[in-house]
Amino acid sequence: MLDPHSLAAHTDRLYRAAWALCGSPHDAEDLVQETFARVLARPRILRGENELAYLMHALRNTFLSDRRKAARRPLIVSAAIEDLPLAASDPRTAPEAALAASEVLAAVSQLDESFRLALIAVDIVGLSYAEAARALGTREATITTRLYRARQRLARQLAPTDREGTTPTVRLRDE
Amino acid sequence: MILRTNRKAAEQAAITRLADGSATEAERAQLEAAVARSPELAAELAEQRRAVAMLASLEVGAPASLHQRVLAPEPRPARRRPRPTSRIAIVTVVLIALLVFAIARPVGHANVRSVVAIALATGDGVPPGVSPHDHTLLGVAIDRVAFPNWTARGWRTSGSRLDTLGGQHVETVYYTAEGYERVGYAIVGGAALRITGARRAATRAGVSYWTIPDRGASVVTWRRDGHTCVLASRHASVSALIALAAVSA
Repeated sequence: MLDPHSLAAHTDRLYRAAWALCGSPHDAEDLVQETFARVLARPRILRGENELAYLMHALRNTFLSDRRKAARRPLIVSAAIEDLPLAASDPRTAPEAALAASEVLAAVSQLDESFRLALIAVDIVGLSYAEAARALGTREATITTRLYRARQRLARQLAPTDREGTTPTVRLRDE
Repeated sequence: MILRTNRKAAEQAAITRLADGSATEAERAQLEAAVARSPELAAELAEQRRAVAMLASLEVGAPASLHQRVLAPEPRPARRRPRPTSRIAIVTVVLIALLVFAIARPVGHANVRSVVAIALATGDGVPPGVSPHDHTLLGVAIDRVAFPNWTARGWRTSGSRLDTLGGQHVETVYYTAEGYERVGYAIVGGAALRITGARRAATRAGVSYWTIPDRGASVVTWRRDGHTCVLASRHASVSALIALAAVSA
């Protein structure tokens, strides 16, 4: 049976995935909370699949279902972009890293949906290609192709612009 | 032209796996040799690795408030007090529902009709994968009765769900195949259900398969290891369902 405490251990990873999916830290919080609420409302026994893959599947379904509902509602108000915090309020997170992360996650959120989901499932959530394929309801070969394209577009979008004398857009931990 | 396209796609798949470390040793050796010969491939690999490194270096954690909230969902808003007329309507609906429930369902047990409804519905659970111990079965079971793997017959899993009816768990796996929209396979945990309103459709290898009329849908029910199984579809015929059921019985 799904253990709420065990699921909660994946909150950070799911939050990053949600942020990359919807492009906003605030929406990501709502999305993660709703995903957990849905998963915990229907206790389920998992066999032959891991919790992360199940959560990724639930996150995607919640995102798509929320988006469909939002499309049916009139848009009332939206926050100004400068009102949105760039970083999560977690004290473990350094402001510089969060700033860089917000740029990367914003770039991911601009990718086509199918590419974005493949990238999030494998490179952010950490699923294997087979698990990602099952969680997203597609073939492993399709995941591989989408992943290639998504990484290519992301790398090009966030490529350093040294030629113009500016600093790289994103600082990497290992570079 | 087609050969060149296929080769390019295979190279890209290998580069994708090499960049994140999921390539096999053989793939790795082969591709690294190719990369050493081709500046174009080397550039593609560097690009892939750069994206992987960017995403691996994300250090954002969820806010502490979110960590607390995921384990303690917010209470639902208080319901509006119903007006007297709507109270009467609610009481009437509840009484009718109880009456229907009492007539249709044996006390203390799930009902085959309810299981059929689940098998004909949809499930948003992850499609189960193949069992690591037996490739003819899926990695999901109830009371040790596992679901069959019909991949060799052209059927793949497309979803799953777990329900509880009258205190009995009902695990359902949905399969799809070309030409059919969906087939739902439900196994009821605990005691077998009493089958009413069914007629015997066939016997295969000593197992009796019963069919139940259900508004145009095909429904087959039988027992596996003392558990009630239901296979239902709006597109497949009863004989097709029996052929599938006989594989797993």
